[in-house]
Amino acid sequence: MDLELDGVSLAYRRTRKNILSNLNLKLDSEKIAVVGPNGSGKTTIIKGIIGLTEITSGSVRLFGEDIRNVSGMTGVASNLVDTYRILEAPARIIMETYCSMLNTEPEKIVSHLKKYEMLSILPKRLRELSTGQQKIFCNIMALEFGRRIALLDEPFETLDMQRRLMQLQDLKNFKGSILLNTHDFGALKSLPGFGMYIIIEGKLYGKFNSRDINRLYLTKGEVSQAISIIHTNYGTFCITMDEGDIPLSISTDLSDSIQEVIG
Amino acid sequence: MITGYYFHSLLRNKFLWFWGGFFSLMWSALGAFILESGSITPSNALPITASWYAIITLVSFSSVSVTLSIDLAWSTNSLLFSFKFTKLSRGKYLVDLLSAWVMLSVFLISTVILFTALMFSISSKTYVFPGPLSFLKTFAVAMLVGIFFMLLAVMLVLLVTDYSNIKFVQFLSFIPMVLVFVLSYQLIYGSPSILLLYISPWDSAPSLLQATYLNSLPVNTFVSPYPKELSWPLALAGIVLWEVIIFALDVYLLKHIKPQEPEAMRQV
Repeated sequence: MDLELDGVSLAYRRTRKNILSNLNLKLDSEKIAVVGPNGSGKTTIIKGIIGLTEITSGSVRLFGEDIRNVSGMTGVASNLVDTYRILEAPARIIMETYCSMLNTEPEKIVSHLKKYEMLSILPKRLRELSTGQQKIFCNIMALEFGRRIALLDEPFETLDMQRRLMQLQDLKNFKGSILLNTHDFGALKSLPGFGMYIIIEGKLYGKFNSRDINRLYLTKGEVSQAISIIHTNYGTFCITMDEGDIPLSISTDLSDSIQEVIG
Repeated sequence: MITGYYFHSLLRNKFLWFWGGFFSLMWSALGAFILESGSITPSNALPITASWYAIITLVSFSSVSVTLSIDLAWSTNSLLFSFKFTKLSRGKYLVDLLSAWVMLSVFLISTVILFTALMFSISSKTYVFPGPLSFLKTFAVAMLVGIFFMLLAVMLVLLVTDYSNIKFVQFLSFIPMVLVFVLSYQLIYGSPSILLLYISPWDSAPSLLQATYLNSLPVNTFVSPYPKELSWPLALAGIVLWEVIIFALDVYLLKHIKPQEPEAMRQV
């Protein structure tokens, strides 16, 4: 098993207040997307997996090893920009530093940057890059360094259409496991074969298959043919198959669709 | 890799040039032309210069090291990530930081020695530059003292990020400097006990710096006509022992490093 979350509750280190409770998720040589509205806890899951958020109960295991004991494990990386701020330095130095710490060569990263027409960012510091440039740089680093598992937080956010399509292609070509989160339901339609969880208010629902997106619907209330019933602070709705109120296939942003179905 | 870039970034740090350059120059000039102007004579110019050099070195190191270590607080997320998911170890990271600091110390120490000697030479109309052997000796001791202050600064920053509120990190700069004024100044105003000099780097460091500048034995006072001599190997061993202890503490604190919320850091 590449990754296993077993009854995990995550809390902010300072306040120790639980943000997510009793999460269960498995990733075994596959690609999974966690889809949810903004603020539903998607980023926190990735932070928990790499040990940046405190685990108050349960366990996160990477290749069988508890994340709390992991040290020097290679092949796992995220695209969170804060994980690449070891130096207040230009992107080139950051890239070379991480390559030296992972015993890899920077050529592949440079060729990806060239493909994205982004070689000009190398002399700039990360904080001087636009959000989109930061995102692409960190996506490339995550896919290069996370050869076994790449953890991608909103990888399509703020990308222009051309780069978004290139990013989607890179994800399709990627050989390792992927756990990505997004509120961008539209992008997921272009990633057939991805397992899919929906996260609402810190709870995971699924797993669905992105191939079935065209068959999935959001339906208000509880219905007998529901495959997942979702109770929220703002109402109850369910996921149904082949019929329902709003087809997920027309959804681009899950927040809007939920708002529409609950009314 | 980290050493080289960190060194370059330190060289571009304006705080460093303020505290290490301007500050040293200011104190050297203040000491040579105002504070010691009535008491300095050709016969006592050398020991007075050595005493000022010792204290200015400590004040510079104490302020510069914390100012530079504060960068650590910005890197908590990436450090935690790197220790878990790259080959970077905590010990290697500390050694890299220290290596950069040692390279930087060459500039800092040279600045302090040259400025102080120049100002006091002009003021006393006496040549008070250290001889080549003294220069090398005092340079080596200053390096050792610099490493102590850097390790201490890292420890203070990590203590705040691990166990306290990140907003206090800016106040840390004052702690080593206040200790210099409280402890190291004892050698200027009195004669602290020999035992204190062996166990407190704030007391042994100025004594060793002054002694190596003068090429004499370290003593427990800069002012008393009846100083007690120190065993310099013991005094050095005291500083080295503290460095070993603080290095171990730094590694421990890095092991328990707590990632800071970027939002909290922006408020610092």
